[in-house]
Amino acid sequence: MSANGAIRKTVAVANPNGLHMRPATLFALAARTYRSVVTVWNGDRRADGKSSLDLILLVALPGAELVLEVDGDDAADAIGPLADLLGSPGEDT
Amino acid sequence: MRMSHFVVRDAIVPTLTATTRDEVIRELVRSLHAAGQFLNTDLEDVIRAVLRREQLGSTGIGRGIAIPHSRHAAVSQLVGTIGLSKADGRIPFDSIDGEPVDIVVLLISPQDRPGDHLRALENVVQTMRDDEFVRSLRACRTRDEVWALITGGR
Repeated sequence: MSANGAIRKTVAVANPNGLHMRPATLFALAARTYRSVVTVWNGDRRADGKSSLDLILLVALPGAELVLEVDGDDAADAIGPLADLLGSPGEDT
Repeated sequence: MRMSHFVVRDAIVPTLTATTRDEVIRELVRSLHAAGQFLNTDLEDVIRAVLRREQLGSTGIGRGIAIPHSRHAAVSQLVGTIGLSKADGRIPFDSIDGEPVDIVVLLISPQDRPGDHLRALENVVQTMRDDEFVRSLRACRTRDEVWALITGGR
């Protein structure tokens, strides 16, 4: 954990198809642009936010409430854009 | 969900003849069609839908494995198939690790069942993390061998 502690935000999955491969990939690519450790929780399931495959294993259905946790020196910059992406309705793909 | 819940036995292709990404997708969709999973009139549109999805971003998940997929009204339940390539050099797929693929799992889901699609994706990703399973799958030479492997606890 960083000196300032992790920042957490609860985000509901708005994509009508859930967090499937395409939004998971887009999220992981965005998460990798930050130095912070990015973790996403769906209940007890935990995923490395920088791994699209890990995110797929969350089985995040439409409406699921995920906890986004960002920990690092750029966490304050990362949390907003990453939360927006995670909660995006996305495209129908 | 287990792989044997959505993989159509008669559609498994133990030795793909196609050697490019688009040809492999066509071969696997045609195999599902030949196994009676959707109508003649839907065949070309299902192929187009899977190719379109692939153009948005590769479904190659790395380590020689790809999971092309699409949602389509042609199916009323999730169906899938597995294709194995024995081609030299395998199949270029623009995968996340840049490696060509030799294991392709194709999924076609109904439009209105996102949960089934997500659980099938989870199953495939989880299963393919098992190195021993992947080694055994690569060694399969017949449809029956692939089926026996995926029904053996998968």
